[in-house]
Amino acid sequence: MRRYGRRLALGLGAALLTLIPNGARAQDRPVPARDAAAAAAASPLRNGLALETFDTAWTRIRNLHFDSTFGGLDWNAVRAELRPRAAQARTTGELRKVLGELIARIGVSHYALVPVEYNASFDPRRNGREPRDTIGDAGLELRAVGDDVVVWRVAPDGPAAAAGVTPGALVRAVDGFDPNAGLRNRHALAEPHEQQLALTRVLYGVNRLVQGGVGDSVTLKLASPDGDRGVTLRLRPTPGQLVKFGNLPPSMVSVRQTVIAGGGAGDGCIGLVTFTSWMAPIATAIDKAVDAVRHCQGIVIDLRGNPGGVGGMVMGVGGHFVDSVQPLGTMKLRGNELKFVLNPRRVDPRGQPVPVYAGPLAILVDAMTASTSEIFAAGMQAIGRARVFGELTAGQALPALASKLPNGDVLMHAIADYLVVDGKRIEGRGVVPDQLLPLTFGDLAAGRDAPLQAALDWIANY
Amino acid sequence: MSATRRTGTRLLALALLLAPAAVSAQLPAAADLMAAYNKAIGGEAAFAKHQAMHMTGSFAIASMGMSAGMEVFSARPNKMFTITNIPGLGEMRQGYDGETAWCIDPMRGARILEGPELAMIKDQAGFDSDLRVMSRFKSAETVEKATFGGQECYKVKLVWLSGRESFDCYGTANGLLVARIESQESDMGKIEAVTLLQDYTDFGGILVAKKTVVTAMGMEQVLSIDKIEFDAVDPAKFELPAEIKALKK
Repeated sequence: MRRYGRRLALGLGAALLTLIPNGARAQDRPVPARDAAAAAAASPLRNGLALETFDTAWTRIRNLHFDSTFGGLDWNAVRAELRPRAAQARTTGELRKVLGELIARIGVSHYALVPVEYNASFDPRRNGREPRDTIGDAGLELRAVGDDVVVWRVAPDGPAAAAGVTPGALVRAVDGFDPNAGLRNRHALAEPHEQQLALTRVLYGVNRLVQGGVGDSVTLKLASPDGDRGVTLRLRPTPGQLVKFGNLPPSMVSVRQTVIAGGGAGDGCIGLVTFTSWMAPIATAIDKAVDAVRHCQGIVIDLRGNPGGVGGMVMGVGGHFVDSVQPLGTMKLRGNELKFVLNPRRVDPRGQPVPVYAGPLAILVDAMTASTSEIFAAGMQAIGRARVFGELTAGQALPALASKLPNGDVLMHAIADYLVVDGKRIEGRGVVPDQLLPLTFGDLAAGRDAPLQAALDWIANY
Repeated sequence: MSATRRTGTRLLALALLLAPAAVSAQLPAAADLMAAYNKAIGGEAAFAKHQAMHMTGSFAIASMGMSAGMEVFSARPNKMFTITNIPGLGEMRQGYDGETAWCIDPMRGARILEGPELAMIKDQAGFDSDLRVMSRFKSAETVEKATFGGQECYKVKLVWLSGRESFDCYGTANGLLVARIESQESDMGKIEAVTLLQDYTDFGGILVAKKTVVTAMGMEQVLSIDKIEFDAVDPAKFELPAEIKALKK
């Protein structure tokens, strides 16, 4: 549409590249996932569809993967090896097995296959329920202490709290699955980044198991000083705002800000801003949350468990904390480089000038802080605008596209590498906090949030 | 003469004009190609009849599963305003009032465009800027015969007054612009883009590509025009939004 529309659309495409790591969309387990997935896996494929789908996936990756050398992998040889197996696939399940192997060969984050029935399961025409009524959770979050999966946070009004589940309980099994084996096995991996990737996968996987469809049940086997016990939780509707972004399944997202009175020196308050993912529909809510605490002596942004989202949002959110245009880092696409640039936010949506927040900024991270969240934390740390507290992050930060394949599945594939403004790569390395504070049993038992407390102390003494 | 017949006559004349050059395998002069293209889309006279326009259409990024309606307003001499509301994203606006170029989107907030971004807007914002007038360029040179979107065309290198370089490719068959190859300036850097212009349709005596396919960063974006209305645009559309006025203070 003439030149103006084209220009707007181009800028939009660059900013909208998705940064959500493999399997990190914990809230997206669809309601009828198990039944539907089993039925879909057994469904026969029409003639030629398997090869058409395989060829489309292989070609897209060949044309768009950011590293044209594929890290030394012979992409043509991979095709020669796997294409005959795709040709023999008679069911969707068989084809997905081959596609899964195809994307696993690349060995970096942001490659995933989202089965068509996942998106379909949110379609009210199929299941008679609106998406917001289908996305549920057990009201608890799980993390790792050493080689143990533990209950980290319990929502006060959720099913877990109602069942007496408390932070610090050891999780021996979720629906019969032992997550701790995965944690122990990671020590056999040679490289630290492989161990970190394994840790992240276990955590995203086990947290996904305590989420699902409203009304579904999940059974936890918990261990505590009082002994082992099993608890079955019925999933509640996940609170928040429903978001549907492009080809990705719907998810529930939320923003929360808290003013911690007297948290700073003297009578100064400290603002705590938390949001569950980087999704554009909540950008305005994040802006409002920052505006609500802009007057405080310090601001803490809690990105623990935040898996990422729309990469371009870091430019606006980060802009609340700088008074000049500043680059955060560079996306390196094949044949093109684009910078993430902070846009100073000197005006609110009503057209009222707002003062730039120039006080101390703390960012909280953990092993489930991934992708766009890592880009934000690493960038703000590198330009000296924030101090980061918590655990080493996931190390999964590659801008990606989510493209539909001929069989209806969605292929997430990385199309860019990302370098922080100081030249460091996040993928495979993660963000190293300025103050490293791994989760401990002692903190859990005492109800102490060590990273938050350290951030508050830092701000108080700033 | 109906719009369809008028268009057909124009294209026939252009085909005849371009034929000798093609037969002799000589590359036609850029100035001739641009003059032929201007004539094909209606010429200066067709543009001069209008003072403002309002386009309604849509854009889609299939690889992202995204689509949205889009409206573009423009007015003489060089004002423009674009608005789109993308499901799952929100409202995005961009404008130029002849002095200040700006952009507002929910992800990044309000911005005043400067430097190369502003220069590019100035290049593009003239109401008649679809016409290829030599006075807008430092130079124009035909460099080769090429093929874009399955259509053979003459590729012309343009150096704009701002120093920016881009390429046009004019169809050998009818002289219409088949493709543009250029770097779009953004605050994130240059975005290399190939734009295919298709399905030329007569709107108010001007031939406009009803479908535009832009390929950039591995993504294909399709922009489609549904309707163009002329000379009924509220001048208030081009006023700076409150956020931009506040930023200018």
